[in-house]
Amino acid sequence: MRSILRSAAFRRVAALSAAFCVAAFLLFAFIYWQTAVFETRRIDDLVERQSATLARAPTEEILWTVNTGIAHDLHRVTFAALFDTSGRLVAGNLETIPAGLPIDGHPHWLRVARADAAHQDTEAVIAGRTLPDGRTLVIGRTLDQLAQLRAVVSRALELGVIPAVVLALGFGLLAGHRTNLRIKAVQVVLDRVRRGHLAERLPVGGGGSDFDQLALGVNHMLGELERLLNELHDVGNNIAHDLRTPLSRVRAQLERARRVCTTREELAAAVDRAVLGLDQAAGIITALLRLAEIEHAQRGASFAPVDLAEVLREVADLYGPIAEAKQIVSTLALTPVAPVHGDRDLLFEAIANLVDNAIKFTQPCGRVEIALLATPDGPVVQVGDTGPGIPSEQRVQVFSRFHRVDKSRHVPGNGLGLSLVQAIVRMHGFSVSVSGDAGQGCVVRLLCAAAPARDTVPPPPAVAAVAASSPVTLQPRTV
Amino acid sequence: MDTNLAATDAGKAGLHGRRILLIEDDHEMAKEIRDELVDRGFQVEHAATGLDGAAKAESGRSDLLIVDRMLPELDGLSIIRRVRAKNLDTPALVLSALGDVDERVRGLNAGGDDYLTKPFALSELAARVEALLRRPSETRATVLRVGSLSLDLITRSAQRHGRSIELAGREFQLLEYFMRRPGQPVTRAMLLESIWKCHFLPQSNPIDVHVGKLRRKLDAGDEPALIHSIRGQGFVLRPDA
Repeated sequence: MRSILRSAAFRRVAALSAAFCVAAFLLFAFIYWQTAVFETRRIDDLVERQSATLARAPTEEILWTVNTGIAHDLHRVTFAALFDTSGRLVAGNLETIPAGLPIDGHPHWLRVARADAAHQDTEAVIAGRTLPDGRTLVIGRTLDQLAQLRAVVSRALELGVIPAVVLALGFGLLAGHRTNLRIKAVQVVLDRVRRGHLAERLPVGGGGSDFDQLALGVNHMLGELERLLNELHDVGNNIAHDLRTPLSRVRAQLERARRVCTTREELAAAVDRAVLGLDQAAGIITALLRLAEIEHAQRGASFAPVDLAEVLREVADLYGPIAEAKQIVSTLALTPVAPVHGDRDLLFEAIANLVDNAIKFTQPCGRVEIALLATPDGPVVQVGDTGPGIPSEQRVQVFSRFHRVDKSRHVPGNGLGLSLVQAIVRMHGFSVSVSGDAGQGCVVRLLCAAAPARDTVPPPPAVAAVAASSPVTLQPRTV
Repeated sequence: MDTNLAATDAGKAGLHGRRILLIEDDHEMAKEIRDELVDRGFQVEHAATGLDGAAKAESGRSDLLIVDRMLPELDGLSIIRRVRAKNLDTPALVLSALGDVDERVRGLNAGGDDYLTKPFALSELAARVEALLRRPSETRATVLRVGSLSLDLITRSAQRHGRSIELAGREFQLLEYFMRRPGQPVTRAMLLESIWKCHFLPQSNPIDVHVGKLRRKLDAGDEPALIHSIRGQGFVLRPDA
């Protein structure tokens, strides 16, 4: 119970109820006061004027007015009476001049009894005047209505506001309880996550309330956390292996060299081999650092318009001879597209990595096709090859650090190329996708624009179709 | 053909005794750099703080400045700006842990002539040092000659021993780069940056393949090689005659 009272929901409701009470009270008070004041002033005014007007009239008229006034007073609101010089009633509905009434023509509040009502005192506004002939004229009006209004307001307060407040507090307790249940549910999930069950997620109701939005946000964060921790775990294992292998090889080589080498030349050669191994390890570390650097870089800090066609031409030119050496046919097909906003050097590196991979994994006499396409979603850089392809179930993992499609690690490289591509793509707000399947070659598409909110990327055109769109073919040249 | 490090020291390049001012606060790194450069025949002066470095640099006694960006008291780029403000055009090489293009541009705009990101190979540093000390002369000559090789910049054609050599676009740029720096070590990074505007080292070795192609074109039959590999550093073009 204590926790319910402490809950934010209950407190909010309690505060609202209090505010409601105060507001209602103020409202009623205001209405009452305004009405009373207004009404009072009106009555005062009326009585004073009536008194003044009537006093100036001739006696017969006064008498007549008094009597007809009373006769016509259906609501019994009027007091009117004429008293002679000795205070005896001449005409009217007051028995005597009200006690304590100053005879000054001004309206005063008094309790008076009607002559025709049985002992019923009412509050009234009375004005008494002395006429020129010495007689006293008393005019007044009852304040009954005002008293009724007061009674109504009080009852409204009793019957209306108080139950409303009680009801509100009841709802508050209920809301507080519900909130507590939700928070407990959240605490349970977070506790499990803390203990290592990274797949747990917060329950999200369908209502779209701010609580649900918060839960969605936390779930998204937990998803990222899970992904990163899994990646770290994998990376940890892989780093250990990928760094230890060259390092232990170097160690073994040096130990052996020390024992076996007799000449300076042999020793120098052994040292050279050791340096190569160390460079390999250093390369992995540098690549990892670069990856971290890119992933943490501030997006857009050094972005400028980039001509993708120019970048592709440079990459194709750079890798042309390697493709030639492997007798791979490489083609370049460029469609005019608008410049994209980004970092030219990083985009160059990403595309170069894709082309590097394509050439590395394609068998001799295969094909690598580099293309720049204009699609409704934006410019697309497409690199396709006729290599072994990536099995469809590895299409997402292939971008994680150190992932190798062929687990035996025979192909050279540090396994970080595609991670780098993904980091660069993410940093630009672009998207990258892989298609093809084992044995069917591989096509990587880089959409150089913010991806539309769709679940699936449309399948890329067949590799042959791309080649048909006026390619600039770099044929192996005979030297 | 391979040639080892010792043959490319400052003495052979005519740079023996050139004074290099190294402004670097990491003492281990400074020792490594200094040892490497002294081995190659340069004189190296060391300053470990920004203010000390600035004072020594502004004296104008050095032939080359190697400046780390992050320094105590005064950062590297400010030192270079001060030197330039004194109308000293001492070549300056900036060393930095910050690799992105924004930072590189900033470094070059401050008056730096070259920019190396850590970690770097000492051989890379040595090649850059030599390149800065022997800035290629911007001659108005339309034909470059190194030994038996000549390159016509207008017709973009090369000749060796009377034999004409056909060059595709990039091959021409590659050969021109070498011929403007005869006898000077050229690293793969330098070639990637100048010719392909590429600021990272690709995993495969495209440069080696490009240079290999060029060599095969230049060396017909049993002509002596013009472009040599320097193990652990890069390549060098040496005249054969």
